[in-house]
Amino acid sequence: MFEIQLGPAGAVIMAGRLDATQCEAALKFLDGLAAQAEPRVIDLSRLEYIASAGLRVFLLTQKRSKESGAGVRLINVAPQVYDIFRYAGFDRIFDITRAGG
Amino acid sequence: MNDTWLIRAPIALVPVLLFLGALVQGDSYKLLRFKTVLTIAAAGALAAGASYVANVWAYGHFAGDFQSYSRYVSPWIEESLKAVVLAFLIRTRRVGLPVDAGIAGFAIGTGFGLVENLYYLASRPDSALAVQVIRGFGTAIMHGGTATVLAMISVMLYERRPNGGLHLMLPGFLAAVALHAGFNQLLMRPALATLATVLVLPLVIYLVFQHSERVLRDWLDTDLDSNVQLLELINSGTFLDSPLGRVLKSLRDRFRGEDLADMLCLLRLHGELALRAKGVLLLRESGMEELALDDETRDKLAELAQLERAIGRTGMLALRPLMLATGKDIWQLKLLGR
Repeated sequence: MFEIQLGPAGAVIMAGRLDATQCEAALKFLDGLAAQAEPRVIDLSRLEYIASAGLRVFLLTQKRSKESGAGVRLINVAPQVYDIFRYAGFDRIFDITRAGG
Repeated sequence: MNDTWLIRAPIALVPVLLFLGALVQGDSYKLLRFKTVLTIAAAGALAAGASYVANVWAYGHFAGDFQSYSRYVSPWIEESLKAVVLAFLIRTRRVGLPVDAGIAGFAIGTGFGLVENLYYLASRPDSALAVQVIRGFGTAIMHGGTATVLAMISVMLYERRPNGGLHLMLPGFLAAVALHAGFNQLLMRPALATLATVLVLPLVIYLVFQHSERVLRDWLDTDLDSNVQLLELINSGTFLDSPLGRVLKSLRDRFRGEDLADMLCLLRLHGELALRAKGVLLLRESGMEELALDDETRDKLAELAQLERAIGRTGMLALRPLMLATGKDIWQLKLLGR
């Protein structure tokens, strides 16, 4: 089960499991958002699992956001998901904050 | 240099270079850098030089005519020399997947074919234009194709037995010699040989590349999950209660406590570095700028090497059931160190 929606403060909220079957929907949602000058904030406090296909979604979103001069900020990242970003070396690619950090 | 040379040289040299360029560009993971491909092609060119010397010597001792020599002897010599370059690349883990091995193989063949064609251009300046067409579209691409076949078959065999001997290159080598000899056999009808090469080899190589990229992507997905699960088990302190942990515990009567502690550290470090390597591949795949090797990863690679030494050969063998030890697993850590 995976959910993606726009929160009241304008942050994208992801919840559940972001695996290969959900990537297309996630990418489509993120692509559909209007380009903005400020970094796109994505709240991952309720994201429980991420597969490599999910990491691709973030990389592509980051690449597109950077092209428009912004970027992606990942906030409230659950420890088990944060560790995957860190081990993969993506903590140097994204502005990323661990939940409770 | 005359006008005819300016027409003949591109025909003899450009097709194989374009094909090599297409292969390098078509690799989504950018497994081989442009500079590396050029170096490998240069090694292929050296192999062509060595092959010239060997062929002159062997033909001097051959009792039959040139046609028989080119069918039954020269393919063995030429494919052997190309295989030497490839064996070095595989054994030093500079290539480890069908995709990068295939590109490396084609680069070797490109270097080889270019030198051969330059030699023909220089030594037979008055040969018919059709000869250059055959050499450019036929012979050069054949050299690339046979080395690609040798490379991809060999790497697939090394994938299952990464520490296997040189004999694992034999099936690929025999296939390359058979293709080369078959091409030379068809040279009685050069147009047919060239047409067959241009139509069949690029298509086969393209299809195999597509398949290999899919396999690599699947591996990336499944192996990343395995690495994450292993690390979660170790970090949560529940590893020793898991099936894998029980295997490690079963080694207690054969190894000292500190060795077992090193083994656990090694498993964790291996998992972390494997994830880091997959991060590099994902970055390349998405076309993002790659990050320079950071101090933390460099330290981890050094620590991994130190742990491997401390555990020793017997300990590493005992760890095998716990660690994924396919060619790809070893290759991905080499990728980080490059």
